[in-house]
Amino acid sequence: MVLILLAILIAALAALGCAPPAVPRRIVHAGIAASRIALAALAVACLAGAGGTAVLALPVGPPGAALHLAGDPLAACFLLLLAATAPLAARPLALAAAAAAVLAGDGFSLAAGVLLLGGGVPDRSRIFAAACVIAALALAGPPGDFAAIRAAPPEGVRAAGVLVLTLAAATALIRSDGVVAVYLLARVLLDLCGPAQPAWWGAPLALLGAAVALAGAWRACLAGTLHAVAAAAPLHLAGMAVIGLGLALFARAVDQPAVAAQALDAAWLAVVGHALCRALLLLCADAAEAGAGTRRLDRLGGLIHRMPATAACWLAGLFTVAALPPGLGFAAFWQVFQSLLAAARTGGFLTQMLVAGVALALALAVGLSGLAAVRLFGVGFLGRPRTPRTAAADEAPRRYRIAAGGLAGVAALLGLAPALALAPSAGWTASAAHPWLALRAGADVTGYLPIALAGLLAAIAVVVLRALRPASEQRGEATWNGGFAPPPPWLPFGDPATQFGPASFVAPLSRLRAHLPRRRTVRRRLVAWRARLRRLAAAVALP
Amino acid sequence: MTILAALIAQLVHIALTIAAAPTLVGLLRWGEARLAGRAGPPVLQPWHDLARLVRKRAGRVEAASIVTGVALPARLAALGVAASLVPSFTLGMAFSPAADLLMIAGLLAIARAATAVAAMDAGAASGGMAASRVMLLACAAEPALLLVMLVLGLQAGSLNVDLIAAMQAENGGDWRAGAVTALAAVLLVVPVDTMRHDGLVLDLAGPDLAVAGFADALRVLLWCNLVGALFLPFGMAASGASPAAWFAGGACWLVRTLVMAAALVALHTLVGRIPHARAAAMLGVAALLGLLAAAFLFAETRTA
Repeated sequence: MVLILLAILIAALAALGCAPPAVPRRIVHAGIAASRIALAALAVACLAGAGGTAVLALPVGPPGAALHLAGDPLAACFLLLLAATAPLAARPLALAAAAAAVLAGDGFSLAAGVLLLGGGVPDRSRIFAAACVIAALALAGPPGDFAAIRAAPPEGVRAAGVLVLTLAAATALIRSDGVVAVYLLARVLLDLCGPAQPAWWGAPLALLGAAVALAGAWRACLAGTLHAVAAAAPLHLAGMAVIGLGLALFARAVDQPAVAAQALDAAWLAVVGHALCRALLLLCADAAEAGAGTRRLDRLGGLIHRMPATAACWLAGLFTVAALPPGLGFAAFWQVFQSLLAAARTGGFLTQMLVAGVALALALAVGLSGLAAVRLFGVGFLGRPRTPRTAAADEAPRRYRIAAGGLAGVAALLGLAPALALAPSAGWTASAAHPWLALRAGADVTGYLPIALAGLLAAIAVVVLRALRPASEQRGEATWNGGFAPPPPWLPFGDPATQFGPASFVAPLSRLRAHLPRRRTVRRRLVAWRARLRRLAAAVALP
Repeated sequence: MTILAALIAQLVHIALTIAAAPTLVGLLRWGEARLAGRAGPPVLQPWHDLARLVRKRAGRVEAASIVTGVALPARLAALGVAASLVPSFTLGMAFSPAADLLMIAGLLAIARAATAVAAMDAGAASGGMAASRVMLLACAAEPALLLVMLVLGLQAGSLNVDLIAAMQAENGGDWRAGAVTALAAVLLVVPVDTMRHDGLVLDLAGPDLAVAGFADALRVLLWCNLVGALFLPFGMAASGASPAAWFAGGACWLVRTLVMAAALVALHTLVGRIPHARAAAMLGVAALLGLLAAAFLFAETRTA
């Protein structure tokens, strides 16, 4: 029953996406909002057991391979997450495709969902990912319902091929659709390929996760616009989720179900953090651009005076992304690190060195994301405005503020009570119930207590604030501009060039980038060869 | 009764920390001046400075927002919580179940981010430059710290500072290559993390400067306590020990802190200010040492 309703909902969303432009945008927006709520409600119903493990075969699709929908706990969890964190201005077709990909019960539906994730004409990475998914599932077992693959999971070389193809698909997807990429890995490698895979399967996943985390944090540090930072910064949480899945695969192979459950918990916390932060930061980036008229960091500055609510939402998102306690990002980081420790306890020397390497990359990624967060907030929202347009920025419309404030509130709540985030995933992570106030690792009686930490922090901060004099007695002084000549009258906020800019903030990293090997594209090689030939021709032509 | 004892121990520890932090800074300044051949300020001078700054009228630059007013107390709160969690003279204090090592590192990161954000709030070039340096050095310090945590967590079976300290005290003289290398990595991180960046406080005055100064002092003491608890917890009263054992623990803590203060003074006198490029290189070496410590530990557990 729930699955039939879900199928109808997805069809309605797809129809809404194909609606002619004459339909007023208000109706489309209302339709999207209503279907998001309905999707979330149906996902909760699935989680509560109303959907069971039944599979619904739809009367559409290629001959002999009808499309299937399945509402097991894994699918329901990710559906809930997608419905809760879909962008405000989502395309209906994109939402329908994401829901279809997550609920897919066979290879074709999964590939179709992945192909249409953008909600429009599929781009190159999504076509590649969909092709990889089809190839992986064709290699895994007979077409049709996933039950056939589960009954006879692939082994040996065939299984390794499935692993490689799924990793390729996830790598192509993770930048644009991190949640679906993580879901794809969990579905194909943990669910369909069965529990009887070798322990080395964890290694490529852990390495991929570490690489994604590092690349995302690095890009967030060097990005020049609000949107680029907002899209890249949460990637290290997606990388943590992939590391968690790899550790779960490893722990299952060496028969440590408790460690596997812990690693799956870590992966789920990280993917929830990734989805929430990405949605929140992109929304805030839209709001700030609408208010300040630009998305370039080097033209912003001092926005906190003009848009305090947007700045507060940015701060909440960046706090989570930078993995600072007691935020959700730190809870995920803590859980991933505990899983790494557990894996190092059970594995051999090579596994242990791999764990140490992954920990090193993860630490670097967390440090870099802290740098990116401070850079964005400090340059964009603090200090003095860098352009007159920024000095006259307007606060975001109320619609944005409510949506962003809601997401920020949810992120803060889940950071304080990670057990709340872990409650829906108990069906597929098979982890024991968590105490409400703490995250614990294994039989260890101590752990991470976010609420106690928040209480202590707030108590000390309040005492210090009380002890200081109220702000009303303060006097304001002009900013010392580092010994430059006083600004001319047409620069009322001082010379913006005397401030530290976004590029100079990460200048050492840019210099480091100049030393890194550049990615050689085919075009760049052609250009280089042409230049060489020209020089050769010039040398020959000269007497 | 034990709960009451744990609570009393916690309160005594907090009072000791508050009393010792500015005094330790005064001691460091006095020692450096003596080694440089000057008479040096009185040891209690930081207390007088703090009192004078708190009495002054607050002044902030025009561009500053509410962030300065919130970030500085938040930094002090983060460092205060971290300092109250790291044991000094006894184990088993009331907050000890929450004393997670990863969380303490997170609190240090909060403090760093808050000071960087407060410095950028004034909108001057010097603040931004100092903030950038602090955050870049933090990026380089993070891998070394996390690898050391990995080593200690694997040895003790937990990341709780109390359990790690108890494990190290139990091992006593049985120092393995892994623990020594990890200690070397931490000792490379400490001078970089406690480095003074003048640009951070250039635009602060009055009570704001007092809060920043007290937090700086707390950070030095926190690092001393952390190194002491993780690597040299000798003489620390065990969890549930009688208050009589606290005095012995307190004396050991005093000796330990004085030795570390002497080492810091010697370092500052011999090396002077560490240039930023060399600081980054030191942190890179620290990360490599952390990796080496992990390798040693894994090899030891193989052969054991």
